This record gives sequence, structure tokens and C-alpha cells, in this order.
Amino acid sequence: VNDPTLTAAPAPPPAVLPPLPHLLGLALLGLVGCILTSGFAFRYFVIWERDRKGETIEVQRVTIEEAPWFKKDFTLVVDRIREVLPPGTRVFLEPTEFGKEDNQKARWMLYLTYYCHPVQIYVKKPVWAAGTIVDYPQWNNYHRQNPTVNMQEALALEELKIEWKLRMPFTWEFLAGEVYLERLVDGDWVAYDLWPFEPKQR
Amino acid sequence: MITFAGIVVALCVWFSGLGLLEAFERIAGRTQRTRSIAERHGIGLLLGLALLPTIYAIVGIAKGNSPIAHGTGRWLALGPAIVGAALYAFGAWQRFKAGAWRVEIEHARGALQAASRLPLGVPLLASGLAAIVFFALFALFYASSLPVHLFDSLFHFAYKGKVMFWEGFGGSGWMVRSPELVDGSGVGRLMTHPNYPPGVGALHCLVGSWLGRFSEDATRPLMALYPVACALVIFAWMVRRSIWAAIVATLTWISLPFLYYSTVWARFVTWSITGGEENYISNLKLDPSALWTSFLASWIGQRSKVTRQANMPDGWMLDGAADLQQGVLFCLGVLLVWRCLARARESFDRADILAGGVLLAGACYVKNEGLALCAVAVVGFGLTWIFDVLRARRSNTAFQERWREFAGIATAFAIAGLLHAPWLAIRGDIPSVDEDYPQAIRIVFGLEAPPGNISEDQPQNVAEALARVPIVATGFAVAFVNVLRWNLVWVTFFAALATWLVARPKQLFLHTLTPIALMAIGTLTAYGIILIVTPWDLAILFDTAIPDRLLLHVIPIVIVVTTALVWRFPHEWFGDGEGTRAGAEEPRSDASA
Repeated sequence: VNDPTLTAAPAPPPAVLPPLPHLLGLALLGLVGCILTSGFAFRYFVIWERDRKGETIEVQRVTIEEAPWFKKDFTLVVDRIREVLPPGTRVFLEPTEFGKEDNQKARWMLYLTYYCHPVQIYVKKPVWAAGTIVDYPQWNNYHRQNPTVNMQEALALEELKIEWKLRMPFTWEFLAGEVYLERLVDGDWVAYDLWPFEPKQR
Repeated sequence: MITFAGIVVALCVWFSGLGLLEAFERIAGRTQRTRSIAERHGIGLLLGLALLPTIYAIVGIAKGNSPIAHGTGRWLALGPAIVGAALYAFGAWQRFKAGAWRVEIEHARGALQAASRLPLGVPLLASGLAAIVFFALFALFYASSLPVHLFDSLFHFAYKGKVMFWEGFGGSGWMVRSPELVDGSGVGRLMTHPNYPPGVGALHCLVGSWLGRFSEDATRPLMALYPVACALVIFAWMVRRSIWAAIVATLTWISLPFLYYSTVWARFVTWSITGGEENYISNLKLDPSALWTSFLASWIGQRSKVTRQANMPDGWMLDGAADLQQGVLFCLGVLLVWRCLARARESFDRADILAGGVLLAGACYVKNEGLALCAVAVVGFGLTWIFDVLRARRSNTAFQERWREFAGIATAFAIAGLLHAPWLAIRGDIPSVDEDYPQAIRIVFGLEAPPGNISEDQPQNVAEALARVPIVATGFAVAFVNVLRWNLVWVTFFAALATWLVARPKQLFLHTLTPIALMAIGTLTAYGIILIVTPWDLAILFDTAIPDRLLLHVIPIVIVVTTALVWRFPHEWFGDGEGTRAGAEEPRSDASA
């Protein structure tokens, strides 16, 4: 078979060997990367073996300290909300309190939106909430200045047929004990006990 | 987290890509070129990683407001994989029968002989190959053994997958105003960067379809396929220059610190993020001892007095943020298309052009910057093509060849545009939050009035924009010298370019890889402009690994260009008078067809 795919390309002429300074530079290039990355690989493996090896994904998540969305209090609330509310339920998220200073780790509206999904989280001024670290202080300030819903927002809640409300503080630390779920019954927001079988002091 | 679903999707990606490459080679017919095993599997993997999420996204867009059923999702992966496996098996059998493996063995033997000519050559070669394999395995282990945990990976990218998986496109999840909202637009759902394309999310959905539920952690191992596939292709292409060039380039890529972390052990350049961007330069502090701390901490952790304050590095790239995917797909896409240029002096076939188009489409589906990168690539190809046409005219080189080049480039970008069109068709309905850069540029030039809620950091005229130039330039310079993230890649790149500019300026412009180098420089310029008009405070932005994350978009081509500039062919350095196909050392099979 005269198959052109199998015609070996003639060997190219040898590339000019780099002069000594280049070679030294390239040796350094390889060395720096290899030392750093293999060091990282070594340390990563040590930490993995110590903290995560053989653990469930939930336990592994808790080992990642920098992520506020993996803190136990937050995941407990999220799991409970997903237990209580069927997929597709629309929930209005209302902050009750903010820290003195804005902290980007306290963007609970984003974390709840992700982890409660397919339960749908609605907020006031969603564009400011969706902006990353540029806009969220505006969102916080708006809520500080307008803690209740105005007429237009109330109309929107009505039009969207939102019957659930989640009230919680937007402090740096997630305060699970101060998260309140409420349901619209006959035009009034009525508290819904998120933890019916748990001691009330949680 | 390794799951059965993840393994199935990885295999589907691999075989569908291999099959697509075989199909493209059938289209190439008699002009088909030889591909090594490493190149075939590297390109195959990347084609699959570009193709399957693109198919899923297009089907999702076609379905609109309703999600794709899990069964359909499974077949969207399995169907192309079955066809692909059959095509690949047929092609592999043909190659085996014709003895292609002998050619591979000959090449390996040749490389070994070349290595043995140097003192300690064989042990060095073995060590280099072992290091490459080690880092490739580490990439797979690192991606598989950690939950998706970083902000961008979760909230920018995986969330789009979640919404696609449960709700489809275009609904309130994408911040498209709900039809039931007559007046009250002040309440809605949120999504960070809602108009980012859904490529990474679609990959999550493919895995989720097999799992029966959405799990970003099950997709994470697949993120390692991008750097591994890229390593295979870099090795296959660079080995033509020298086995040492191949090892240095591949090892530099696969051991690149920034692939694995962006937070470093200890920062040797620091600044205050509360001081604002106007004080960024004056607040810069250099602490060279942090380099030593980092080296030490990388091995002993926080056990010594020196390393006690060191951070544990962490980063986006294998966590599922889209920068790595975009960089790999874009760079290999343009390198495949580049092969069709006569000045490339590479054998090429139509499969390169078609595969290049699919990879570029894949790049556009993972981040909005994909479109900007494609525009830069068009300019890079266009400028060198015009330059070569003018030179060809002077030296009477056939215009037919230039036309073939033009057709090749146009075909690749047309494929990319065609595959990306469904997303562009619906993207306009999705709001852009914070990042409307064309509008920001219009505001700077006074072509559009600034909106009422414009960020105070965003420049509103040319003078304000120019005032930001030194800040952005310093930000880039700090990134280039950050060896803790980039090794010496950028330093070597600029040193190699400077060497050629001083010693061989004319040959640099005639170099085979000049269009690719132009794209790298053009991309840096484009990103520089974007940072100048960004609404963000630059001091804060630089603290979030910008511009490093943007630099990753071109790093594979920077490594390829640097290696080619260092391991130069004689004709590249000394010139052969033409710089056209006439002097090519490797016959282009299409030319003889």
C-alpha cells in the first residue's frame, strides 16, 4: 500500500546547539521549576496523606480552612434548606445585619446561591450582588440604608410568587443560630422552624 | 474525586477526539501528514475536551429554557466516543499494518543516539523524561485528590454548569429578567460574570449526566488532562529540533509552578491593597529573602523559624477556573493553524486546519477572552501573511501558495466562528456585569457618556487612562519576574527575543514562529489595554493573581517560541535568502500532491 501517511519525514538538520550562557540559563530554568514544583508536590502529598487520604469528600472539604463555604455551620444550614425546600423553590434572601467593615469572605448571597441550588435564591439589587469584589460593598451599603423592601421590591416579590424568605446576618462569621426561614401565609411572613428536632439554643 | 462517571467522560473525551482527528485526516486524503503517537493522543485529547463541551452547550442552547435530560447528556458523550473509537481503531490498524510503529522506534533510537553523543547524555535524557512523567502524574493526582474549593472555579464556572444542568439556558438563573416581572426589576437571582461562556460548565454537566447529579468534584480530575495533553504535543513538536529542546520545553511546561499554585509560600514583592492603585508603585516592597524562604518552605513546610509564616500554596489552574483551558486550547489551536503557513516550514494537512478551528472554538467557549485572543491571532496571522505576500511578489513566489495559506487560516477561524455562533446568538440577552470593556474603551475616548454608577477607579478620559499606564506596566513587570509562579519562562522569553533583535533582527522577522511571537506580544498589549480601562482598583486586582492568570493564556506559545529561538535551525539564524517553502527541510506533502 502506497500510503502517504507512512512516509517518514526526512530527519531535519540538527538544530544549532545553544551557546554556553543559554545552556546555563536553561539548566537554571529547569532547576528552579523542578525544585519549586517538586517541593510543592512533596508537601502537598504529606498534607494529603495526613488530612484527606481515605476521607469522604465532605470531610475533605472541611480541611480547606480558607473557604468560608465549607465551614460546618454553613453546610449544616445549606443541607437543611435543601432538605426542607423542593428544587425550584424561590427564596428571598434578606440580610439582617452587617459587620462594621465589608469583608469579601462574607458574601453569603453568592455561596447560598451556589450551594442551595436548585433552590433559587433571590436578592434585592442582584447586579450589585453578582459583581465580584467591585460591587458587593454597594450591595451591602444599599441594604444598610434600606433594610426593608420598598414598594417596587415588594411588587417584584409578589410578581415572582416568592413564598419563602431567608433572614440572616452578613457578618464575617456565619452565624447559623441566627438564620431564620419564613413562609408567606395569608400575606404574613411566618417563622418556619429549620431545626424542629434540635435544641433551640443552637 | 475519582468517580466512574469521571472516568467514562475522560474516555469519551479521548476517543471522540481521536476519532475526530481520524475523520479530519480522511478529509485530508492523500495530503495527510505523519503524526507521532504523542502528537496524535495529545491533539486527540484536546479535540475531545473542546468538542464534547461545545456539543453539550450547543444542544443546551437549542433546548433553551429546559435542561438536557441525563440520558441525552450521556449520549452526547458516548455517541461521539463510540464513533470516534471505531474510526481510531480502523486508522490505528491501518498504520500498524503498514509498519508505522517502526518509524516511531526509529525516531526513539535516533533520539537516544543523539543523547549518547553528550557526556552523561543518556542519564540526563532518562532523568528528563522521568521528571516529565512525574509531573504529569502529579498533575493527575493533584487534580483528583482535592475538592473544587476556589472562588472562581465554583462561582464563576461550576455554577454555570449547575444552572445549565437543572434549568437550561436563558432563564432567571442567567440574570435574564423574568418575564413575570412587569415592573419590579429590583429583585432577581445572581450569577457572577453571567455572560462568561459555558464551556467549563458543560464539562461539569457531561460528568453530572453520568453521575445522575451535579458534582464539580467529580469533574476536577479531568482538569489535569489539559496540561498533560499540551505536554504531549509540545514534546512531539519540539523533538524535531532536538531531544533536549523537547525535554526542556515539556518539562518547563509541566513543572510550571503557576499550573499548581498562585498563592506562593512567601511573596518577595509586596504592596498594600488598602493604599489604592495610585500608591501601588510607591508601596511596592522587595524582599529577596522571601525567595529563599519559599525554596525552603517548599520542602520542609512551616517547620523552621524562617518558614513559620509561609503560606501553603494554592491556585486556580487545576481547580476548574477556565484560564488553563483557554490557554491550552488557544495556543495549540493557533499552532496547528500556523503549520499551514509556508514560512512555518512544517508539513501540514487539512486536518491541522480543521482541528485548529475546533480547538479555537473550544477556547472561545471557556472564557470571553477567547474571542479577544482569536482577534489577536487574526491580526498576527494577517500581518505576517501580508508581509509574506509582499515578499513573495518581489521574489516571484507563486500566489497560489499564498492563497492556500489564506484559505487555511480563514477556514480555521470560520469553523471557530461557526461553532461559537450559537452562544453569541444568546449572549446578548444575558447582562454583562462589571466587565464591558468595549464600552469602557468608548468612554475613555469620549464616544459614550459614562453611566451614572461608574466605578471611581475607571478612567473616563484619555488623560486618566494614561495615568494608569505606569501602574499596569509595573504590574506586568512584577508578574514577569515572579519566578515563584513563572519559573524563568518570561525572563528567558524576553532575553531570547532581545538576543535575536540585537544579533539577527532581520532573521527574527523572517523566523518561522514570528506570527506566534507576535500573537504573544499582541495578547500582552491587549490585556494591558483592558487593565488600563478596568473598573477595578488595580492594587486589589493585582492581589488576585492578575495579570498572571491572563499571562497563562499564552504561556504554551511563549514556551514553544522561546525554545525555538534558543534551539534554532541554521537557516533560521543565518538565513537562506527566502524564508519560503523553497528552503524547507521537511517536504510539505500537500505541495507535492
